[in-house]
Amino acid sequence: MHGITRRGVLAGAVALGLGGAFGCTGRGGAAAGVPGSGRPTHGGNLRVAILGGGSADTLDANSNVTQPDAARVLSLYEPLRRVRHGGHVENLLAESMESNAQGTLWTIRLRRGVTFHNGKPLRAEDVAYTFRRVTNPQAPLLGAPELGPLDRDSFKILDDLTLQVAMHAPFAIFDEAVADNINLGIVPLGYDPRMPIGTGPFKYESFTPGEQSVFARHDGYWGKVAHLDKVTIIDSFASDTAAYNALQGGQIDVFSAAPLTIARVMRAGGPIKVHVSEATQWTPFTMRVDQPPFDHPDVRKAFRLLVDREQIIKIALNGFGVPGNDVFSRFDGAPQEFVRTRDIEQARWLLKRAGHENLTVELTTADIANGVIQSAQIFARQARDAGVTVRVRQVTPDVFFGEQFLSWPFAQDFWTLNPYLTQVALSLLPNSPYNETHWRDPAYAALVNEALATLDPTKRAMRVRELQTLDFERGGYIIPSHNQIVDLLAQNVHGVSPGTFLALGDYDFANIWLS
Amino acid sequence: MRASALLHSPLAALIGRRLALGLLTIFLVTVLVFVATEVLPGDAARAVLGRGANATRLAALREELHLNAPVTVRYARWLEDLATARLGHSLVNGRPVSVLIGPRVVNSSILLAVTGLIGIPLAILAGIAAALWHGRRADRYLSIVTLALAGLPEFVVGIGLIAVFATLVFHWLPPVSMVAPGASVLTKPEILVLPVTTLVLVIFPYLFRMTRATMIGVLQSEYMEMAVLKGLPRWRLVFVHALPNAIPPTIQVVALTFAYLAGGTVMIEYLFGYAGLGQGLMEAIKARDIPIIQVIVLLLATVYVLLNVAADVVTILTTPRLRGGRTWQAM
Repeated sequence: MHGITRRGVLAGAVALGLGGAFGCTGRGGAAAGVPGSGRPTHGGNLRVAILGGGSADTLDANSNVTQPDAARVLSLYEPLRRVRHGGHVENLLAESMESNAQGTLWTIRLRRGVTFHNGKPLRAEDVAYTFRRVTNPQAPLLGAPELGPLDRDSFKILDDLTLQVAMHAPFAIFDEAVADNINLGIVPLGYDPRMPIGTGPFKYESFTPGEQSVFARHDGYWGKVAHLDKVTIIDSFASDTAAYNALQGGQIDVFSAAPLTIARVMRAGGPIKVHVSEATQWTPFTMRVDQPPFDHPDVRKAFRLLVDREQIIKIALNGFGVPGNDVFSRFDGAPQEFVRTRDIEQARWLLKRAGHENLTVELTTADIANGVIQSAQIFARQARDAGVTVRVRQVTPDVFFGEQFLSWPFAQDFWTLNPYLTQVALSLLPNSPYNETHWRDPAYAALVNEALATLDPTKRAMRVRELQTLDFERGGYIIPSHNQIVDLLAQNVHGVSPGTFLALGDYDFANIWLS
Repeated sequence: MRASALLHSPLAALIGRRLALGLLTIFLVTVLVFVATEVLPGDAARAVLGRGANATRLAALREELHLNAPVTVRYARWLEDLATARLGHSLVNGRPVSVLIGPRVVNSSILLAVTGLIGIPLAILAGIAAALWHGRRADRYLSIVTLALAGLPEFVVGIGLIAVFATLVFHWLPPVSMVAPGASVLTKPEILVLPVTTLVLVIFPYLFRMTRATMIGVLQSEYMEMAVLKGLPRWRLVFVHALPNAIPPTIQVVALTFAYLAGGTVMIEYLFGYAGLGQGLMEAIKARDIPIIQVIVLLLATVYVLLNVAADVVTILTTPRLRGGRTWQAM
């Protein structure tokens, strides 16, 4: 899946979703390590603090759990294609991916001359093995839902570097879906996570869950070889403050995905540089559309009209975000057509029409990402203006993601950017693994299938726009903002790429260098 | 006294009884911990799978980790392993518990020992000095400072020290006690300075005030007056006549201080990111990693019980009134 990994219990960590994005506008790279500032020097050990790790940390290419896992996986493994800043999907291990006219048969040609860390050349059988591993029906891994109708028994190896994959149903976005950098990294045939071998720019050196992991430059890398000798990922920090202190004290070089409150202070200047990502993460309020009072479309619309989005961004996100308009995947379809402004009068009128004047609801929140709890409290205050009482109930992340996860009547969640149709597969179809709004609309699902069968990107974008209209008018998400991720860097860290959906230029360590 | 006589002495009986009671306490603690971890929401399977958890994967993993067995069965199995000296493996990442905990035990012991070695003599000497200067300006200042320190929670002391010596004012010391996984903190002794200083400042007031108070009491007693009138030298007065009588209550405080240090350093280890038992315990609780939680709690409870027994024994040995024989049996 372009999934989200659950972050650990600690505050400040952010979970990850993955996948493609289209047409990002660049605002990243503010003030920090812009590629080209000076001449890259070779060598050095980059020490990166990432919160949210723990004893459940893993190096598995297709089954990451914690926030720092994403950084590790991105160093070790590579997918067939990947999303880059600006949202375009580029080939990585694939040289080309072509489909038949129906979108039911795909041919993948692999890049020549790619070797795994153990020297074994990359072959079509490895790709087949990876897809089988992810879609294992007994234990489907995180990437399974986004591979959609892939027929895992259909693989045909045409030659060493060519694989043919059949689909159970038309799947026009297969070449987008495989671009999941953290869940669909290609592993060698017979892969064992205890021997974490991939094709990435760094290879495994050591790993202690919840403490630290070290990766060394892979000199046999097929592309541009990394500048750094080593990357050390430290996730033993018990708190934001400890990591921040370590950065100030020169014990680490980077505090990745830092809390926004610290980031705001640093932005004012000083010895620590601030790197801001594209605004792609979203932390929606989730309304269950199958239960009162949110089964009434008027109530959902009224709640969306209650929100003062600028205020939430200013206070809860310390300014690190752009307004959301209840439509996700902000670079797909026609997002500019959907604009929601606060309208208390209309909200009152809608609630009255729905017979829910003086409504009282409970909102379940937890410290699952930057600004989530604050957003809940601000929303409760804003709702009072329309006579709605929102009782905010804070639980621990364990409880939030526990047995009741995905069944809270009114709660929050967090996602990173996915291509629109991938996001729909994850959270808005009857069989979606994260259908937190309990959205089950046959007409919507039919429209989704139609879009998946549309190979022409322009025509597909029109289908997406129709779907977005439904989301905007009737959906169960309130999306107040698209949030930015902020890294704090020491002065000598350079070359951080802008990145699209994760910290540190999507943990692109290969371009980073130390002076 | 010959060895056999010692074995049958009332003191040995007392120690035996105390140890037996201690064992019972430890057993009850392990039961409590098992029950407590049951009450926590979620389990190790959820921690391992994270948000990728779904019914199929959860069921399979719970089966694999034996999480479906009733709590009594799992407890019995753990106890049985322990009795045969098998500490087991982490539920979450499958590594042996001994490997995960070993370096942490060493690190916490070093923190404890260094703090004790510096803090206890310092506090006792300062207490004696203050008692001798009783009522004078130095004594008043020391009392004010220690009272203020006693009123500060340990994390405030720690944060203050970090701000002054590591981040905001000076950059003399590392603010976070980082070492490579599994390495001893002695490879980088400088990381010990701030946590040890914090802990010394935390234990200092209690010990200091206790020593000072008992010492003042002793110094004002009639036999001391007699000794002074006899013209004994001052060092002899203090160290030979007064100190032995001021020691017993202080020993209890020293033992309590060590017991506090053994369990109560969690906050300090958290603050400094010190790779000790306290930090390991918090990590294990987060992941519902019951075998690790149990072993750490067991260790801490054992240390606690042993320290208390040791304190009682030393008190008896240093108190002539209690050395009589019968009185112990009532203890």
